[in-house]
Amino acid sequence: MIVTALIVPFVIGSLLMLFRGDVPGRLAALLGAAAMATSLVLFAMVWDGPNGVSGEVDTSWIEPLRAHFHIGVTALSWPFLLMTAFLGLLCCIWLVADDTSPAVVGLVLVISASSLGVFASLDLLLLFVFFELALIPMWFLIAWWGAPDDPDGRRRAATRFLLFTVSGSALVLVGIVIVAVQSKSLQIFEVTSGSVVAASLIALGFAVKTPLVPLHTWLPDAHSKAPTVGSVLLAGVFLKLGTYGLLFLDSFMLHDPFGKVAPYLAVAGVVGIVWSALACYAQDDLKRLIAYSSIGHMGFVVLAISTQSVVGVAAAVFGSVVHGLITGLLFFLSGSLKERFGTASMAAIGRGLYTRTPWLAVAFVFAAVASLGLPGLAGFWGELLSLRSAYEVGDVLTKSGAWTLLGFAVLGIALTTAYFVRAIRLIAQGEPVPRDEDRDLGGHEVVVSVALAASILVLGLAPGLIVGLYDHPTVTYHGSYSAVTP
Amino acid sequence: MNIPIDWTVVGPAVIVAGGALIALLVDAFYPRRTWLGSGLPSTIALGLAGLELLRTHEPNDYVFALSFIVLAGTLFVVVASNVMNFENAMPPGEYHFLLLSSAAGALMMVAAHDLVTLIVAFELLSLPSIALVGLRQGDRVAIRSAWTFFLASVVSTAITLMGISLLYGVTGTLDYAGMNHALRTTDLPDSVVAVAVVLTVVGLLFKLGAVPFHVWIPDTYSGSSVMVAGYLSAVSKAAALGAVLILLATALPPARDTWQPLVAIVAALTMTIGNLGALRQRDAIGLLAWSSIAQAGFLLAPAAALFATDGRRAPVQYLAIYVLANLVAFAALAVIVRLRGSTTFEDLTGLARTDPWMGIPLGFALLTLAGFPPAVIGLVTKYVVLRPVIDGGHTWLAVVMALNVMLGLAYYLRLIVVLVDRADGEPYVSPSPPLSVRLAKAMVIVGALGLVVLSAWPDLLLSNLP
Amino acid sequence: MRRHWPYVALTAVLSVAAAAWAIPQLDDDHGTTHVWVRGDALLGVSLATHVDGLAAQVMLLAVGVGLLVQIYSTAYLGHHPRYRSYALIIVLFLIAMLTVVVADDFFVLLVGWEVMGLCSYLLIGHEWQTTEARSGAAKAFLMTRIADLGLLVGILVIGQTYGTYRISEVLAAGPKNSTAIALLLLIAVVGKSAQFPLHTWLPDAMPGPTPITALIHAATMVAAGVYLIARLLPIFEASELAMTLLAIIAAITMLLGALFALAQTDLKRALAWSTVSQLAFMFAALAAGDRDAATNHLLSHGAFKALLFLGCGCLMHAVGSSSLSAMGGLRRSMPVTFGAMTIGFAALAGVVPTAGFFSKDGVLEALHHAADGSGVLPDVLGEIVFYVALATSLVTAAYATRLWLVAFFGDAKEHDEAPQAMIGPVVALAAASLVLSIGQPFHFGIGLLSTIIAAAGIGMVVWAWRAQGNLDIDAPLLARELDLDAPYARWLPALVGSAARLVVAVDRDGVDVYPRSSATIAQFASRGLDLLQSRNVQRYATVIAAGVALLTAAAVIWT
Repeated sequence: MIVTALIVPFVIGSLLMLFRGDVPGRLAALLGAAAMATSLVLFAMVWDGPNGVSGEVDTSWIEPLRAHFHIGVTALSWPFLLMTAFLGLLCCIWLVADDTSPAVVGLVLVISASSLGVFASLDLLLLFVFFELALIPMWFLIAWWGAPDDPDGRRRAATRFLLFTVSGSALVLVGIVIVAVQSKSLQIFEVTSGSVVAASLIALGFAVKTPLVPLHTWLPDAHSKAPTVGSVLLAGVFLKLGTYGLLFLDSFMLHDPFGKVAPYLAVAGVVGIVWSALACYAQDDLKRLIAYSSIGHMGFVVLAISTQSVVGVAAAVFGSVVHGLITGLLFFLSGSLKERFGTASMAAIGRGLYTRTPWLAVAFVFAAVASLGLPGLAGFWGELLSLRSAYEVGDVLTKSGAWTLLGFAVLGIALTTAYFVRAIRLIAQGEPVPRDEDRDLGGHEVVVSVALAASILVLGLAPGLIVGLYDHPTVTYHGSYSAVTP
Repeated sequence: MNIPIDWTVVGPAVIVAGGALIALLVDAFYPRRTWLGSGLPSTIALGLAGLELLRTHEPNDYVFALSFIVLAGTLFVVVASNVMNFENAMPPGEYHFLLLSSAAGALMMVAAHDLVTLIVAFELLSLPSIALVGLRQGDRVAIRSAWTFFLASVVSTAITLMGISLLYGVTGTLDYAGMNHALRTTDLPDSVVAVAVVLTVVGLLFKLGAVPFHVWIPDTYSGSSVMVAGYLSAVSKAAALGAVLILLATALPPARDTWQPLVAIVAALTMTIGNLGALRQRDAIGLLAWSSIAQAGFLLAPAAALFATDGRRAPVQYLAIYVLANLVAFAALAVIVRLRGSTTFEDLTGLARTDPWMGIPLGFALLTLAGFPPAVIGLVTKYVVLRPVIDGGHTWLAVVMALNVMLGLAYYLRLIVVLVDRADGEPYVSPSPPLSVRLAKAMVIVGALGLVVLSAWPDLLLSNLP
Repeated sequence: MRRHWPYVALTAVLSVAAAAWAIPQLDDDHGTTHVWVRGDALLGVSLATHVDGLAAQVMLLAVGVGLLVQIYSTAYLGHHPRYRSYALIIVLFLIAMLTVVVADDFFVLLVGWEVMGLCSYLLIGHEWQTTEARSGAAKAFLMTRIADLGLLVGILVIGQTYGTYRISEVLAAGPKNSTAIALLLLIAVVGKSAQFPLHTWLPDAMPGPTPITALIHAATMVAAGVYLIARLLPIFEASELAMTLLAIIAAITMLLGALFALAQTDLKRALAWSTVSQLAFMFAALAAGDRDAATNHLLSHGAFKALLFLGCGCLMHAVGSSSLSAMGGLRRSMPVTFGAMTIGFAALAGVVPTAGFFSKDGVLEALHHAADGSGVLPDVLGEIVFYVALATSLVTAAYATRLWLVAFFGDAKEHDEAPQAMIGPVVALAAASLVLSIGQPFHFGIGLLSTIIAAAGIGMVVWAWRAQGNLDIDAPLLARELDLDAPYARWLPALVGSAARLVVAVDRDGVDVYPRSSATIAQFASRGLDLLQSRNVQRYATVIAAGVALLTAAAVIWT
């Protein structure tokens, strides 16, 4: 079942890329949507409870290396899988238009499927292969279909993204090899210990992907130059590869050595929260602003992971998934703006969108408010649980350290409110100067926005849907979780 | 691992050498400017040598694996060489004669178990290949490249001979096993042994193209015919690596404290310098030349951890994939040189669109060299060489390798993007190509298919090589 | 009219439902707790409610004022192009307010608390074309939300201390770790209720539509801070530090607010300062430990301040501005508004027999009592706060009279009385301002004192009015509100702005140096290697020889 869920988007995606000249764009997007919907439904159906592994498939792959084709759904990966498939589906729906290139749909499918593969992998080498598989398609998505006004810039941004990520993933590979050599296994559940060097290398590698300050400078360029679906997948899915990797490292494999690294990660995460919030405050380009805001949100997730507690795990998963939905919505909407006005510069878009494009403005304000963590919307619970995990200190941080971090994180929340209020003020409010390009949300944009807004609202009102997966007594995961205390 | 010191191992080499003579004779009496002339006997000789190899060796044998890589690589080169313009520039009889002679040297080199055989084989490998480089009639660049190659080769051979004589002087034997014994049991002055070992290995490192003996490679590759460059980068490197591995593993283990760190440093420098050199290349052949230097670093790295888990198997497995991918890339470029005359990035723009049967295999081969999915086999073999390096305790080297993977991707991807980019001008329509070009194309496609199949089932390679 | 009734009906249904829930609990001191959805163990958030007499009263106040405001708005903003979203946000606000009042789980409370803040932000910014509305809204949202982070962290502390987020369970467990908790909650309360030093947002929120001011920025949301402390009073009482701080804040705020109100030239802004000052009265009562006095004043203030704002809206509807200079002499042309607002101003000034008199009497009595040393507060502080409250009463009476005189007396001006839908709610609130005084406790001595003080204040102003013919006050510092807004309006934005620019610059020129410089170095090295390929064989031989020499030397040194 999971294999089908992975293969369908891969195959359809590859076919669409091959026969890009022979398929109308609209049909291609619909096909893509169908593929991602299949995947989403299958991943939803395969689930049978938070204990153990659902839909496990384990066959031999590379015998001499003890690498297996081992995939399955755990309580840790399930929310990520559903979120990825959901965002992939929405990206395809977004692309339903006559001028869509089928190759873009194909790239979206391959990227989504690779990311699904990462989340579903239970073998380290397989995980790594999937991890790398998504990178080159993303390069093409950014470099060829990115910002139409800046061909050199988008290409530079794509290369930058790729080289940063590959440096990170190369370190992850070294870490994986160390783990495999030390524990004579590549199976995630069988690896229970490893050296601090391995943990540091893997953490550093995923920190590039997440990204943590000061390894983040690829992100604003890549996100702002990517096409809309590219930005959505980058922020919604790719960053999650980093946080998921850290989570995995922490909770399954290298719990003890990770403890040595965690304090540094926590500090980097919190610095990122404040740093990115300040950077956002000075942005004019909306996509760049959202990109920087992602760094802050990922900072909360990393802070939570670093506490090595069950609350931290719940916070990290919730924060990651919800960031995917909220930032996805923000990027879709800024994509709509860019499509209309040819730029995402707030100064160029002009003020008063509330009357010029009312529903677009309302959706943007909704997403912004969700992103700044208003209680009752999904963004809040991720931040709250992160703060709670920091307050409760967890296993590895010291009390004074954790509380200092908490203080800075709270400062970051305040600054986050400030820059979103500024953004709302700059585009949604103000004396409107109508332009010819003013056009409210239409067709597929409405579907995508409503779907995301509804899921943000549902998770905001019922956070237990995800957090409940980590309710302490039910989590066992082959016993590897025992090191975590509530 | 048990390596028989047995002259019967030279069987395949003798067959190949015989094939070389026959090819020359056939050309003399039956001059054809196509594959049917001297190419066919060469192919048959290589096939027979393969059969002989299968008959006399365990399939799991180390020497078998290396010899197999040499034979298969040479076969690939022979078939793909037909794309070369034998009409004007290349005398086909001499070409095949030299190629097969050199291959015989390569086979002897990987089978050598004493230093005399090694140095003889080394010369047998080198001299014909120098001639191959300079064979293009009336081409002054080719002559100069051959001259460079020759001088550098002579210098390094001289140094190696000096090392061999020193080794002989201190151990009193030229035989690998005896040398091992002598080094282990006799109390010898460390520094003399160190100097002897380093000087001996230098010649082999020269063939491998390791830093600082890489200087000849960019000039020579770009000056010679494309398939000759392919042969040098694949078969000649395979032989040199095999000889290094066997020498270090059988004759010099007692001196491992001397050569292990040196090999590690040389490997790290080689891959870094190779990749850095490739960054600015705007010609596919120049790029592949530098990339082959970088790849030599990756080949050499596990040699620094020969005694770790899979330390001896890893480089051979990496070598197999490197040879296949590199030959596919060079053969594709040879076809392009024949059809378009040049391999600069401008000329290659949009190749995967205008000529997908060349562009896509070339791209896949480059992805394999970069070690990037969907060329899973490239990634898996990168993993394979990292493993002994880490098991042997050289974590720093592993990190250098990891960063070099990134550096490598930077230029491989640049070329791949050129290949798939939209071409500006008219789409290139190749006139119905002659049979010789079709054969080369077929080799490119078959080789790339092999890479695809191995990417789907990496087990096929990893379980079957030693 | 057809456009409006669905929203009024929706509000009415909500109000009736809330009233049906609240009224049976009015006399219930212990309250009824109900868990609707029990949360899972890890998150620990349950959807639980707790309604007691206090909650029931505040619920009735909220839905009552809410319904009246919704009706009022049909006339006041009925033709506004964005009426629909306006009316819906009011409904959302009421739901959030009710959530805060009935919540028995701190997180549920927090959700309501912040959604109220959002509604306030959206409604202040209703006229977002104007700069004042935009910046007022942004300021209100930022200041309250930043203060709310205190509540957020406070809840985390509560959860860690008590092992539960249920308010009733926390209260039943008795006070623990109360200083930390109380101080954190106090930050949120000070922000939400616009107390010193976070008081500057409320006057700037006045560009919002007047009915919204009446509902959110006078009667309900800003009073939620009072409600929160009243609800958690046992925790506050266990911390002398928190109570002392609360008393000091209240004392400073009440006097400052009243003085600022006196100096305003804008009716609405003056009323806003008056709200700040009156909220401080409630906090003073809470600091004295008297919950009933505080909530009584909350209710009566809710009624009469809503009345005053809605009446102000009627005046603005008539004259088209909230500036005092535009008003004057409206007594005859707008008799109903005049009558109702007279009751409102009387209640504000504390004139018998309005509800304002009795509830203020209760507060003063509580403060007087605290000065005896029976409460948590130190005696001296209790005494000081008591005298400050008396002084504030004087100023309050003075500015109430001033506003009343300036708005309604003087040269008569002809304007139309406001429409029925606006007059109706005003009259209803005027009635409430009187009716709420029924059954209120009364303390004779304090009552007499406050009446004398009120009379003095009124008398002074009337005398001044008679003597000089106008009531212009020439106190530039007070008119500038002591420049207390400067940190928020200028310093903080400037600080954040320059920090932000610095970060962007460092990000580009500092952090980004390592990837850029490594790229440059790689290119440089690549060029160097290219240059080395000189096709000069002698040079190659030199390189090889040097390499061999180096390697040999290394090997010798190594061994």
